[in-house]
Amino acid sequence: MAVPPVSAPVLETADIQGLVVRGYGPLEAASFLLLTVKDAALARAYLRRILPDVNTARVSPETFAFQVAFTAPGLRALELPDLVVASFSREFIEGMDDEVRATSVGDCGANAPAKWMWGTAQKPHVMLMIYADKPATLVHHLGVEREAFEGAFVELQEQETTTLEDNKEHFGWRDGLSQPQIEGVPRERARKKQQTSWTTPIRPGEFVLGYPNEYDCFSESPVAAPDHDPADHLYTTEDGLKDLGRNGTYLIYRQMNQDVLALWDYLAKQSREAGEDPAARAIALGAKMVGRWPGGAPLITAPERDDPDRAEDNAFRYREDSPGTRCPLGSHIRRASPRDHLADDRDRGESMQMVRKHQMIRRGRAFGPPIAKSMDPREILAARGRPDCEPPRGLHFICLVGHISRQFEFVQRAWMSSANFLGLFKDGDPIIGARRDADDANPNDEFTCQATPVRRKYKDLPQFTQVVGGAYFFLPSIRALRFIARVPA
Amino acid sequence: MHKVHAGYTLLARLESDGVAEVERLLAGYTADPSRMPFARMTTTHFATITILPAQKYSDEEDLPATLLFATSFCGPVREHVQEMVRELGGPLRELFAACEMFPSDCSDRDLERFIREHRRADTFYSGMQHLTPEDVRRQKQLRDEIQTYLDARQLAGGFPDGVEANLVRREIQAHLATVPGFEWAPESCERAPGTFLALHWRSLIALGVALTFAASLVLASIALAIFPGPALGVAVAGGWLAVVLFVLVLFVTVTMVRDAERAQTHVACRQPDQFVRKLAATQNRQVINEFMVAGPIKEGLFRPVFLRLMLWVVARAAEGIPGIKPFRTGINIATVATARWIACDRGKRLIFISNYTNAAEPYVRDFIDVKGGAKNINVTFGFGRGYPKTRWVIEDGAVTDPNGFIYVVTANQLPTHFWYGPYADMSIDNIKVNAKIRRGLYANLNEEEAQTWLYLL
Repeated sequence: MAVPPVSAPVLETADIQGLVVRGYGPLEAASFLLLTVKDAALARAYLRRILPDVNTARVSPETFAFQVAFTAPGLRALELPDLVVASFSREFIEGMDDEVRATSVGDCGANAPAKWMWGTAQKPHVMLMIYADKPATLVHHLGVEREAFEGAFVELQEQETTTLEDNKEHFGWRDGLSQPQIEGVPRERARKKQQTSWTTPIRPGEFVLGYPNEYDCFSESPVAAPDHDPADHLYTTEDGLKDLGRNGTYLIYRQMNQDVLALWDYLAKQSREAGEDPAARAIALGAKMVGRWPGGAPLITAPERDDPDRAEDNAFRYREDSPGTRCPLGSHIRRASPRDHLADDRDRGESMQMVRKHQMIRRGRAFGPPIAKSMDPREILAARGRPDCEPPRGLHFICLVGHISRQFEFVQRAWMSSANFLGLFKDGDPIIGARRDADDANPNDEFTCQATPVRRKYKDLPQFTQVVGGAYFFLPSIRALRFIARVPA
Repeated sequence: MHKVHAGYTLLARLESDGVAEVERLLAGYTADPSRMPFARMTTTHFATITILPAQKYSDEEDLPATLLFATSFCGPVREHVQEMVRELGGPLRELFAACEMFPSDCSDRDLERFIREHRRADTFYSGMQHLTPEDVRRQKQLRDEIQTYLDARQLAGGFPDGVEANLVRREIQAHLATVPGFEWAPESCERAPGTFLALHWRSLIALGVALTFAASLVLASIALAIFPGPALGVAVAGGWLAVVLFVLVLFVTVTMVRDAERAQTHVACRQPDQFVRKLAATQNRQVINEFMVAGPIKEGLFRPVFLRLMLWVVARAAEGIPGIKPFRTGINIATVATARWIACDRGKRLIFISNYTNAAEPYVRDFIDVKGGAKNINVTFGFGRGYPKTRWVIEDGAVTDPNGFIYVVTANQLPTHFWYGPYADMSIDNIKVNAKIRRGLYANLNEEEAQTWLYLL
């Protein structure tokens, strides 16, 4: 198969799994099945069977969507040649639970891989992601798939999801408001969002292999030898190899429990922010920690109070707030993407160039029942102490990147986990940060709220989230899926 | 305050059986750093001691196994060397005993001579704000004490709304006056007379010589047109001949380098995962890490000369001349505490050592993540064997092949046997902020400036 030109970054949507361009928001019911291969031949036969059902980026499905991703152990278990697996990125091969990688990204203490429920001892091989418009449809499809992969796979986990009111996550904040726009994604989709971004669309190679990235080059892509692909499913590279990565991407999945009550307890008891009543003060501190109000309005454009008219604001930048008095320097969203203010001694253009090289497409879903169905922070606050608040709830954090180390791991290490981000000293991410041990030389359990005349400091921050599992997956193209499944010519 | 920062880079060839002995010694110092007590030194910010392995240049010429001893220091070099002899004399004798030409039963004077004779020129960059190690430690203590005071004020209800920033600053000053150990804080932070010259004399001389020559030549040429004379004619002709020769030599050198660029065949490829993982594990400290690459440069007759010329230019750029617009921009890499390039083995081996905030791979990407960054890096790293092909020294290379840049850096990265880095919980940003806090604490600030200063806390 000859290589089509890629200079004009128009995505080959028929070959790309749909999750890259859409989060399947209207399909509110979803489950992720984590499987291990029991019988490689049967597993490949199953993959061949589901191939027509795997949704591509070309069409938005109305009732049902199906995606499939693989870990490095999974590709080995499916009997891909060792040389082919070895051509994937080192991060993908080593895995999220690798000791050096975990230490680097700050997965320590309560987040240490040794404490995970899955992803270390129990490593998944394959993830089936099933989305449906109704719970009944989902149950039906789950049943069909389980019957179909009987004997081929063993089911490790079913990761159920839930859709919360107003697109919120369990802490009570609207989620997924700032997604990078991908260059080459059809215009009508960009318009549908009706949201302006802080930057121009990002080069597609940042999120899909085989396209120019922000360096105007191609990210490393896994390859196979020509004789590994007798059916000629894969494109041929200039070197005469078969491009297994093209139109695929890496998928990072972290299951994260959220201790909603601990967060709101802390906010209620510790807040020294302005507000007409204790709940308002708690919400104000939460907003400072997140960088947005629960309704979505960013503190940069709505510093005083939540403003529904600003809920979709995404064009804001941080340089004008370099002291952080509106949006604290260590707030969650400012760490996740510092936009035009990476450091005081970097100019705006440099900051943006660098930050554009560390973007991720997020496709997470919540799990577990909400504390308050309305997701109104005041109701969540009022629910404290209720007996039905116990079951685990949290977020299936899922993101897509073209380069795991440069994008996901860099953001985790240098921005989210760093106690020294933007010249801070002992601050960690106030919302998702893993707190280090008390005797650590580099503690990260403070939150600094920059203010006039002088900062307010919040100390002894508990850990509000806990990573309980995770793995790096490869979300292949349709062609690569055919190759993995060994579809005959 | 405002000490000159420099790199002390010592290279000494190891005896044939010296490698194993030095490895053993350095492992011992790493296990018990008190055996190599840099912490007792007042002039040293960072130190790297390691072994450059025997390597091949151009697949034929041996580059010998060499001991590398590199410090990032402040103040006069004489004081630094004498302090090394005084505080590290014992372990240095142990180490250097494995090197060629090291005298047995060496006295302090012999040791000092050995250290001086084996110093090699480096192109050095420091982001350490011209501070001494003691400054860094004291400024951190100052910041911590101010934070403790502000925390206590916060518990007591905080400052009233609308209070003047300068009033808050005065209250902080008043508090510090009651705390023993901060008597030094009100002392002046102004640069001592002569600091500017001490920091920039090389660039000033280079610029002065170039400008004087150019101005003299132009004036002499004009004078010759008005007052023709044989002596002046010879001088002017000689001057222009020198210019032509300089341009010609530069042109020939660059052309030869360009030919070598065209002829390059070897480009580094992805390194084995286990090798990279092992390296990454050595640079996984949370805040500051050390990074070193060393390897032979690319083939080409003129490359060793041109490399040294480029490093000289980079050194002047790093130094800069504040206040003179085209020359004021020194190099500024926000994540770097100190860095140096060394051309050793007659310019045939290039070494880069850096002390930096972050982990190795993202740090390396910092160099090429901004526009122009990759071109700048071509000028130095571009000489390394296996570096992606450059074009006219600054074009292509890491610009068009960032993956290749990462590969070659990884391929030439060496694990450091012993590293001294005392700032475990401070990034270079923190050190800069602490310096600003100390400078602004007693400075004469208007209300707006005082508020900006308070935002640092």
